[in-house]
Amino acid sequence: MRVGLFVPCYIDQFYPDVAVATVEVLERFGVEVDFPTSQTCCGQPMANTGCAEAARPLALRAAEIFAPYTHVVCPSGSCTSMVRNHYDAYFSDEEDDHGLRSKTFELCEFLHDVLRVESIGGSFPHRVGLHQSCHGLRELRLGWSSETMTARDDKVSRLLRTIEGLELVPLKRPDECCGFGGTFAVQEADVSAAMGCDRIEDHLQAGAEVIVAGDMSCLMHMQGLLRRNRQPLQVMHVAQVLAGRPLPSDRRGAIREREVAAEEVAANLRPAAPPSRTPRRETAESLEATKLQGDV
Amino acid sequence: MGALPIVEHPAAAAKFVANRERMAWHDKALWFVREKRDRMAHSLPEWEWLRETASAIKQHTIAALPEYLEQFEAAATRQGAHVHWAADAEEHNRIVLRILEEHQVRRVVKSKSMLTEECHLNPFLERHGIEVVDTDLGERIVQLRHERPSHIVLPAIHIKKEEVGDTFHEHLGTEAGAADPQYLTEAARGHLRDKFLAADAGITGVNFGIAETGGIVVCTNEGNADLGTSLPPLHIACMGIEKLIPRARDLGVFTRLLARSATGQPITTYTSHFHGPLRESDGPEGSGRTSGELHIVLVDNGRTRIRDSQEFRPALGCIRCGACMNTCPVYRRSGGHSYNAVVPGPIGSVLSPAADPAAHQSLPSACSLCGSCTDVCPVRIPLHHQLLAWRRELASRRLLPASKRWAMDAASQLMRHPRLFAAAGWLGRQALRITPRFLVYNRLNTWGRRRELPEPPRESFREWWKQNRESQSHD
Amino acid sequence: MTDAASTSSRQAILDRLRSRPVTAPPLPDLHPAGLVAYDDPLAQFCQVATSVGAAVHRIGSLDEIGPILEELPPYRDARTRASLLPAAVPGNLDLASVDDPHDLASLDWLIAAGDFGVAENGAIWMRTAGVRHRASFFITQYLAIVISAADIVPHMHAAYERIGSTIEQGFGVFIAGPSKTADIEQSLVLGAHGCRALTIFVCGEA
Repeated sequence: MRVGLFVPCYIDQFYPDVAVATVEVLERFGVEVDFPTSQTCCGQPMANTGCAEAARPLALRAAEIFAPYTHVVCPSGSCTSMVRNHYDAYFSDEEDDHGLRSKTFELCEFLHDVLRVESIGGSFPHRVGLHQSCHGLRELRLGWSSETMTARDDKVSRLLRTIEGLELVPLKRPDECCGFGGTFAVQEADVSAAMGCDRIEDHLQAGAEVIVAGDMSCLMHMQGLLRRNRQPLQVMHVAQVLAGRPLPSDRRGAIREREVAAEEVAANLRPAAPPSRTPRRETAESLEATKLQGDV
Repeated sequence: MGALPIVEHPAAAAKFVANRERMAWHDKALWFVREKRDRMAHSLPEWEWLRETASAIKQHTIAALPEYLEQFEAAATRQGAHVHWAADAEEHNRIVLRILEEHQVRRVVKSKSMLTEECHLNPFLERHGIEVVDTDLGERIVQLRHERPSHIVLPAIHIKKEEVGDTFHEHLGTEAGAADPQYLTEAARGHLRDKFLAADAGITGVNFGIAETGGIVVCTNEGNADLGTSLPPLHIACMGIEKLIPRARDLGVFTRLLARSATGQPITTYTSHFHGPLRESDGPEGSGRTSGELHIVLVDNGRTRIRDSQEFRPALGCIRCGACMNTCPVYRRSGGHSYNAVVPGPIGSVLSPAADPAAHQSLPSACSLCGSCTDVCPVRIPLHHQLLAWRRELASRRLLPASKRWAMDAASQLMRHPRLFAAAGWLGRQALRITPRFLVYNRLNTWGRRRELPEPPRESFREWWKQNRESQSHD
Repeated sequence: MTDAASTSSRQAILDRLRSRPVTAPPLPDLHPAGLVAYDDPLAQFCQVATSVGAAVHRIGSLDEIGPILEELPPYRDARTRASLLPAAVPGNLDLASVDDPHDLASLDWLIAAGDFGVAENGAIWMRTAGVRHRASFFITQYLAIVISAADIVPHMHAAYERIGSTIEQGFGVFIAGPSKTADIEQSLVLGAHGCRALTIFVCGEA
């Protein structure tokens, strides 16, 4: 089987190993992987901001780019959901999506439903906190969301459980949102960070060594918080665990920590920033600055 | 009160988040309610059938609304009620005032009604010299504090018991510093009993209007709607036109869902069915002498407009249970007042922009699109998809902040050109690697205020692919 | 009562609704298979009623009500008691003799009969038929309701089926436990505006 690999833009640029791991996992199960390099972004950031006109050309592009494939696989529940559940709005009746809406699969979903993988194999002797990314859970129904009463298999944890030594820790709120939410993370930065910190706390309390998720965007957000707050927890995309990557060491975190400390010293030596021209923003910003100091 | 100044959600939310301890307390209190709801939902194997059925009944009713409204009016009139129609909030308020004035009413007791909040009835009546006492304990607390409810079912969920104690000390003469909920509730009971006994009229909302029988159903836990309508002879029930259900037996579906979704109770303590006005010795056995009047005010106030839209029409099915608020991770951490709207939370963020899109443009974005509200909603309103639809709607009406539109247009242009995208990505990663930290984490970097940026890798995936796969496959 | 403005609003609302016809999906079937079923609906009723704050007593005959009530201090100390089952429990206030419901403010106890109970939620369907003042049910400080053990329906669908068209005969209420509130910090307090405590007597065998 030959599949088109659909790599979210931020994974391409910032987390290439997630895509590499996806390629490795698919190849391990006998899939021929192709990555059409003309792909960029599915348009979700624009769509979720409401900018349909900005999203539409990207949706049309994606349909053309993936036209040659019978299956398209993506290591992101969110981007898969964008294509499957939200592309309707961007295609008129005359425009052909070349089946993209129905032939695009999230990685675990593809392994579980299409390849019917029984066992992943390998070993990962660690306590794992599974972060259920909302779009994977509630848009793709990869698992059983705690709000609904319809019993469902959890495709992600079912695959993870076949890895030797991997222990899934029980969370108090197994599927609460981490607060990433795309542009929400910057537009509602305070609520977003609070949500992320609460999520992290739940994983820490449960004794997890690593947060594993099917969406790197959630992990990017939580990793950013973990590093800022210097908390002893790693993040890994599920593809990396499935591909047999070891738990990342703390070395980089430690280096980063020293950098942060040095920066803070430097920051204290710098003169205060000049006042902003727009007074309303200034108030909000300086409020933020005060809080930030309190937090760090 | 009346029109509120425009405060955008992120700024209001930031204030709430700043008090971390209080935010955590608020979050836990509501999560506790969500967990109770889960246990109740789990106790019924037919839960999802109930949701589906409730949704189907509501969709059916909203579609056939004119016929059901006429049927309801005829049946209610036959039952002895007076039915009034109000196109908007102002007319609703005038109708209520006129009825009260015709009966020389000076004192009114009111049980919880989101519709009267929406119409700002209280300040209107007070301006005309009528005392209005909210009798739901939570609503009374916020009324005494000159606040607004922060939640549609739990109006005082944002207030700590010590603060209630201070308010009651000032207004009801409870002991200074007393904060025991039992003691405070007892004090309110005494205070409000006097109000019930002194009232000339009772105003209630309506949970369900039954088209076939002309009856109305009101649900409370405290019994305030019942006391408020059985002591004074005049009962005014204010009802949005979307509250109708076709048949009495449809109540079987809704009474099973409402309290379970709202507070995790199997049913509200009092589920009261009113057919006609107050009577002495009701029913066929007794004399059934009418001893009061029932006036039902049917209110549009923008509901027909929402019905026009296929996208937003399902929101009219809302039964005001508040489950979407309890489950919303943003609501729990930003507080109901941060929405600056009569109805906060996910459903409020759908309904409020329909009333005034410019004033509420920040609400559809006060959402991480997690979809929990949609899954918890007892009438299956696709809330998070409607919030997304609102963002599109606001963008098409040019109501999104210009900075957002420009950024997204620019990003879209970039993403249409893969080489440009690759180059920009490369540039960005290199820049991140060499730029000093204090320049990266500047004041415009909203992401970086709270979080680290990802470590830029040496190569992108597409570069890796070129070297490790593409070169091989083309050989 | 209805004035010209309201009449024109009526027409405007109906016109507006009719100018946008919406295809109505059919009303769903309310009699599916697979509704919750209880092995012992009576036991379920007693358990849920207790969980929502009621005190439930199973009794063999109505004669047992008096002695059980006499055990309760609020009953023993009560000054004003009204009974709608005078043969079983005598009261000292005849509700029919009260002209103004406000005079019921001093009512301590009301003993009334309920139509039937609902197993899934512990609620009892009460009608004010034959009761002079509806306020009696809500103004009394303490409420006792007597139902027959044979009158338990499993769920609300069955409840409305059973009520049928009698729903149109005035006022009816499902009462589940004593009045309550949790409006102060989600702390449950029994006795909000209605009765402070609810005592249920389930008489006979199912």
